[in-house]
Amino acid sequence: MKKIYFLAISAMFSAACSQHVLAANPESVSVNVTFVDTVAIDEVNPLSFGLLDANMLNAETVVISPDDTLTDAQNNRLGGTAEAAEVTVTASAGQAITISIDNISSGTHYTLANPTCKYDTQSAGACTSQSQTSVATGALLIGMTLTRNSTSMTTGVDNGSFDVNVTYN
Amino acid sequence: MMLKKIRLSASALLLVLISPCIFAKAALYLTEDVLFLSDKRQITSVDIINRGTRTGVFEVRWLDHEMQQDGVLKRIELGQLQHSLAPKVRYSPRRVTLQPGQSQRIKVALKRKAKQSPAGEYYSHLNVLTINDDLESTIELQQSADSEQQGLHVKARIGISIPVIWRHQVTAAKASLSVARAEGSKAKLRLEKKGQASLRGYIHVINQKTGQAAKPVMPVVLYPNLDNRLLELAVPDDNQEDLLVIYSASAKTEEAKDNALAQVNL
Repeated sequence: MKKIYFLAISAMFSAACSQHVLAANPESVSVNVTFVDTVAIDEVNPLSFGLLDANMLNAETVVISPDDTLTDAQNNRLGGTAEAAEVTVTASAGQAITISIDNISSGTHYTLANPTCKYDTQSAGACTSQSQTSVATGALLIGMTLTRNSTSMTTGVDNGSFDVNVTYN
Repeated sequence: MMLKKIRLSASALLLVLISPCIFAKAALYLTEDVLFLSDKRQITSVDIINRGTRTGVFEVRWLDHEMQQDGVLKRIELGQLQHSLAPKVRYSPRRVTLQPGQSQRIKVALKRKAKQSPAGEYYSHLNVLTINDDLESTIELQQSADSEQQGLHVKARIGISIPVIWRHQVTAAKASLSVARAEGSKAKLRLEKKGQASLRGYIHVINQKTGQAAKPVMPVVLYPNLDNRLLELAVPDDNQEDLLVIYSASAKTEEAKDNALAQVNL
């Protein structure tokens, strides 16, 4: 009887050992993958006033609103595309962000002012600084007022620029 | 090294998935939306990636902001803010030129002398500004005699700012919520902060009968310069008595219920 017990235990022990040896053979390799919430902003199109009349008078204005509505009381626009600037903001949704426009660099013959923004489905408003809740991908539309200054006109390209910053609170 | 490669590959894969279209310019991506430093973790980093199709030039700089009562950040001249982190850290590089698909890690490290600073929460925003989103065209235009473009364009130089926060010998701030005013469908809540650190969390409005969120989650941050903020909530009239408002560090309502920093019945 003892012999049978001994054989059975020996068999179980060797079976367990062989299992252990087999199990140790394949090496497990850990794979580390980290998905991150990216933050991105890119310009779809610049703020375009198109072709303006070189005879535009001092203090006359052309206004482009975020929905591309044009206000040009003196008909200074001669053609070309007139549209609000559009940038796409890709962010982790549901974060508090502040959108700001600054460093507005006017041209030689005009000044730029009154930046107006429309972010995603929110209503348009002054965008020197705007508090918003981010969406995964949202369009930011920017309009401005162009006012002719008193500098003598020379025809040609006279482009300006401004900074758009999306700041995570 | 291998881990870093896999991390970047995974990030790149995700970026490809979320890219809405093929960009005709350099496109600025950052891999973090907030960075934290601590007395133990004195170095942190963020990757800038150009996912566009043209070479971009990006400038890295510091900006300081103060939070106003309405939650809007107001730009403060660098160096004027009492708890500005900018003078207490080193960072590099400060300007990078990235070809399409290239990335650059920006490292931020506490200066050795920073440890001698008085206890407090120090913060600044790391700003990455696109100086040029099409370097190839700029060079071509400079080489070309005819650089006329049709019409007057005002170029947007786009940038992203992320907060970098160093909590130096301060404990987490405590939050409390109270109803300042409730009139019909509008309620005003006061979120108060005790402590030197900022509060970063989310407001959840929960219908207590159903246990479900009654409104979308609202992110609310209190910077160290504020000790309270008034929050306006539009709530449906019919179930106002059954609403519970929770402030939690979690954006997920189920987690927020178990990890409330503060709560109040409406």
